[in-house]
Amino acid sequence: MAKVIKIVEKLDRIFALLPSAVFVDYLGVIQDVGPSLQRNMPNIKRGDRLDYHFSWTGGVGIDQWIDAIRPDGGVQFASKCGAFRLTGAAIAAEQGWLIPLRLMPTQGLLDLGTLQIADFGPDDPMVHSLLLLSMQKAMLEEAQETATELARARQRSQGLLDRISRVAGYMAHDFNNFLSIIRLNAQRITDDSQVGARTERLVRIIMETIDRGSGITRSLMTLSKQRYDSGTAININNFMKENLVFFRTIVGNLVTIDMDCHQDDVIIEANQVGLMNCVFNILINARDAMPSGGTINIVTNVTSQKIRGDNMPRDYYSIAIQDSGEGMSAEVLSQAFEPLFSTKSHGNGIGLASVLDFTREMGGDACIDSKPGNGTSLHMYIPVLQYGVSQTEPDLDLSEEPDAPIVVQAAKGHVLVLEDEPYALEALSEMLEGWGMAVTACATVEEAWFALKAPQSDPIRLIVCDVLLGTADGLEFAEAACAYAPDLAVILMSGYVPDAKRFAANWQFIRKPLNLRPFKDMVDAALGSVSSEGHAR
Amino acid sequence: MVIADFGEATWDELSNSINILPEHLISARVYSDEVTIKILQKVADIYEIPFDDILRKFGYYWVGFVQRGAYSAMMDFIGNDMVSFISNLNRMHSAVVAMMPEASLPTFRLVGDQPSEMVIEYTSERAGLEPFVIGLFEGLLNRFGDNGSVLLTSSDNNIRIFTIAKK
Repeated sequence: MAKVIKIVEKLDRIFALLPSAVFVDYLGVIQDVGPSLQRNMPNIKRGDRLDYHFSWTGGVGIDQWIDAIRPDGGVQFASKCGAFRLTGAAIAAEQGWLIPLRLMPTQGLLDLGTLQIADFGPDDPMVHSLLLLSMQKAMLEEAQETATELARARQRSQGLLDRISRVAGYMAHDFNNFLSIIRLNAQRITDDSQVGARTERLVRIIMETIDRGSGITRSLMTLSKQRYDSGTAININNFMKENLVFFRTIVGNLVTIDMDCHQDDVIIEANQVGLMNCVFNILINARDAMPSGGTINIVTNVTSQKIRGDNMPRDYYSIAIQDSGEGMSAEVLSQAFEPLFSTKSHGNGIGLASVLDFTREMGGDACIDSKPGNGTSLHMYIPVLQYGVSQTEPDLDLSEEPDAPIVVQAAKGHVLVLEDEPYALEALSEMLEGWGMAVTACATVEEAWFALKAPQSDPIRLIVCDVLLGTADGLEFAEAACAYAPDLAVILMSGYVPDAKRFAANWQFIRKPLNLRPFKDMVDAALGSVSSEGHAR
Repeated sequence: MVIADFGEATWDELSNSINILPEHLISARVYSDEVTIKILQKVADIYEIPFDDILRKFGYYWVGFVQRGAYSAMMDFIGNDMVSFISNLNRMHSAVVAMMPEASLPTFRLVGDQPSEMVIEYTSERAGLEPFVIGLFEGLLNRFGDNGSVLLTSSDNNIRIFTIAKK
């Protein structure tokens, strides 16, 4: 039996050192409790039985426990209200038992944030641990807020960049078209045998200036499309797995991310920054849809399907990101991809619009499944480049040699020129005619179709076609024309470098403003003639 | 504080003029007082406010900033009244030093607690921050719903005595 000591008159000092201590009489009735228990268990009061508020290890009655206690033995208490665990021992006192207890913080108690330093004794090392935990938690929270802010800033800057890029791209394209017209017509002047040396020199100056202007517009167009044009071959499952930790930081502690990646050997061609932005945007939306927490499932796989004009099913890598939030109404769902549409007070309506924009630029698509009460699932589809080893597609060869005198050979053939700029059309047609070809000049797709289908004694063998024709698409026309007349040769012209995946194998591409020597070589090759310098093509 | 009280334009102006970098703005990172002083001095210059007033304002703002942010749970843990909070500040600081050993933090000791006034001994190797400490105490009075005035009543080497006269 432990030594009996007089403590009743010293309880205040004892409670200052042990704020969670309890003093009970020999029958287990509470005589006094420390300030921490008073604060955290407001229902506890003098006269209550100890076992009314606590259970303890062994689960025996208070009498048996006290009888069974060993001098060096400890005991663990659990409050019946559920929040507290305490550890301590029993000390025999003059009028009962002093049970000096010490709080053992449980996860629930920490999450509630109800503890205070005053609940612990002055030298309790638990305080230090709790402060460190608290600081760590605060730092993580700050890191998460910063990551979210960063993601939002990227989202905002991406939207702004998109708009500026488009405007810059359109302006550069139009300017390039004007340069093209000037070049073609300057060439017409030099082709005139009556032209004098001074005029020839002036034309050369114009040509050189066009080349410099063209270089500037090309740089501007490259910059304006830089974000998505610089696609690289990515092992997409590796990309997703390597960034999982970062994704988890974005969504925060309340949201769990489960990721299930299939088909590890898939390579896609995409811009990594754009892809990362898309996943960020979707994750932020998913997180915001679950303010009280939830689960995001990311599932990747390969599906074979037809998307946006595919004639045949092809393999697409799909990323499905599904949240367990409240889902969207049909009305919200119908507008979810619209630029500037947002249901969030702080939303800018750019996130999902940019996801759709990106996936389409990568040759794929995006869609959303959602019903009120059933969460939202966003699917991104990006074409599979290949399976296995990563390899990028070769770039288009855009190298052009400087102009050399063009020697006109008797290259015969009927050429359809489709160009919506009338001055460029006129100059190009005259030039082709000067090279000995029959030319049908068309300013619209409708005119071109009419000409192609009309009975001809000299059938059209070559189409020279601008890619961007106002609202019409030169590539679509070329595809349809070749389907109608499979032997047609095609030369496409544009200031932009169009999507090479849409090219048939035997099509040629030349950048505007046209450099005439390679253009003539292309035309001759397409018509099976002899090149400008006499070597066989 | 600069953005909240003086606007983003002021912040942009002074952060550009004194070359504030993003790493200077991470809260859980020890950086020299020089950066803080530079910022506050610049604000004082722009608005022609005495530097000590800005420092005091910053101390007051700091308490509100911390209690609104990620560290609010830690503030609650330290104490929910003026006496317990100041009594436990040193324990909090020792945890901060454990995490950031290069941090140089002051100590606070409650040397008098009467119904009409509190007397606090403040020891620090960093000189010139007394107006900041006055602002901190004023911020804490506000946090706990108390009224009072704070005075620096004595200064001897590294030890300063502050008296909070309660109203």
